[in-house]
Amino acid sequence: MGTRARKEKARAHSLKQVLRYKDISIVIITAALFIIFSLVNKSFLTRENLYILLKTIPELGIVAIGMTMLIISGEFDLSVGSTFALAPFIMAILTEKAGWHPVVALFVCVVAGVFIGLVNGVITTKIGIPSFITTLGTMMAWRGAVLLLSSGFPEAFSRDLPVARFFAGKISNFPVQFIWFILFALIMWVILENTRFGNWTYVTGGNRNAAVAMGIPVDMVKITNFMVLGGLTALAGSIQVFRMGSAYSIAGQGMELQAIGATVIGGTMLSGGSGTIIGTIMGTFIIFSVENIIVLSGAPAFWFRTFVGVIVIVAVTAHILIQGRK
Amino acid sequence: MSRETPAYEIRGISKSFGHVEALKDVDLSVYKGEIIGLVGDNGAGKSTLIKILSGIYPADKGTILCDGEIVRINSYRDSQAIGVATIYQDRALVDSVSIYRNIFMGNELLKSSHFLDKRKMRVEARRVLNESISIGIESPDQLVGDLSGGQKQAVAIARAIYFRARLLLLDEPTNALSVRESQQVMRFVQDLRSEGISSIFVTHNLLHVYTIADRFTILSHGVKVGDFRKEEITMEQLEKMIVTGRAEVS
Repeated sequence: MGTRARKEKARAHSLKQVLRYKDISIVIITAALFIIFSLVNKSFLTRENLYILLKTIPELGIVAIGMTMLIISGEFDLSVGSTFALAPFIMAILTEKAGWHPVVALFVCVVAGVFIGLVNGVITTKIGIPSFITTLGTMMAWRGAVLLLSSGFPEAFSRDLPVARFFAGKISNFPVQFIWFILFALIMWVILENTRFGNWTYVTGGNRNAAVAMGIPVDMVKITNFMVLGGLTALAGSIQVFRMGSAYSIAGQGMELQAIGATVIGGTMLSGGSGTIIGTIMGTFIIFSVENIIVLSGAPAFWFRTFVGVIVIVAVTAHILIQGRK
Repeated sequence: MSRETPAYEIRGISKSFGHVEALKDVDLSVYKGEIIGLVGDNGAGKSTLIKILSGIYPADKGTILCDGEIVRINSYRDSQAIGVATIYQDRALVDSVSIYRNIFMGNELLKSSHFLDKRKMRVEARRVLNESISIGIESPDQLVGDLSGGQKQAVAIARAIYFRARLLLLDEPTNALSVRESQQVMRFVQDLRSEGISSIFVTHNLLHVYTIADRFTILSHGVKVGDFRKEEITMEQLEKMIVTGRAEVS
């Protein structure tokens, strides 16, 4: 009798935990959208269309998972779109104009991204400027730099190079970049959920004063997250270059808001301290599948931004409705 | 009074902020398992004294002793290292993460150099909560933001106990709590006394502090005006001293 009651209590408790589990609402929303889209348009769930989706999602997705970590730590970065253009442009120039080995050029590109993150992080934490202002400034500065570097012309990059195939090729008709995306997402998930640094990231964003009081190096946590995001953004930009065969100075425009949008749709609070990688992956899927269904349905592509805007609000409302009830 | 060496003692502490002398030559001692009521009107210097002990401000002058030996407290870590734990007004907790992540924040239990031992953290969190005031806390996975004020206080104190605090600095611990929760927190602080854990209790609520403290140290405008054991003083006399800033037992 006693054990039965206890068992029932445990079951009720675990059910409650499943419902409160932070990612469940966004997974339900994403699944529902996919079902609706496939019913609305027969071309949505075809092999060809899914291939296009899986090939293009990683570029935003890799940026968005880095953005998620940074937002959880209590900061955000508007300069990712410019980093996404500048760092790979440097790689393309080094490879095509200066004749560097493409792998070395890619390495330089990622280091450049990390450096950009370091600059953002140091200015934000050490001078004490809000990251909104810091990265608004660097967003414009780095965009100016890449326009200057390119004089407005694209820089070619061979899609047939081994490094391009390694990051953006195919494995029996499956886009390799999606595997990289999942791999990075997995690594970031493990870091966030299972490491000390992940715990520090959550508590730094959740209550900075408490974290300082408990001896956590909050500036280091934030700067590191800025740097990780910078490096991931540079790599994501390179993946686009590998896919397109050219580096463009206007690449990544508007990406900062899409990345923040994917993060917010996925349930991460802009105020910091909470959020998940799985949510952000779902958020990225939602943004791309909305864009995709608009194109497939032949609706004017201008609707895309309108829909993403609406979905940001609807998704956040849904989170509150599903999770907020106590 | 000749007793054993105080567990913690401060001698001749002074602290100024610009022209304002927040503390002038203040002495205070705490014996093992003793609850000190640190009382005084606004601006008396209570919070400054707490902040010096918890390593937030350095003192301009004076010495701090732990078990009779001079110690230096220059940071929160230093105060933690000698067993001092501050239970802040804002509780120094993170609402958006779970109880066990809060308890081990900054002192995470690790499996290897970077990976959390989450299972052990959960088990230990549950144990320390059960041993202290768990007041209705179901699971160490609950978010701190979902807890009541008293439960949050319990988590903060549980964290201090787990890390072997010997002196709790309680700055207005019952401020935002319901009557029932205040009583639970106070009973818990009293229970800790039997385990040899001392407390310095700062509050405006004279009824609370008179109920649980063993001894009172009264500050007024940064100066210590009196030090009385509970049996030497009534609550009315204590109140009068706080208001007048003069130690007179009539």
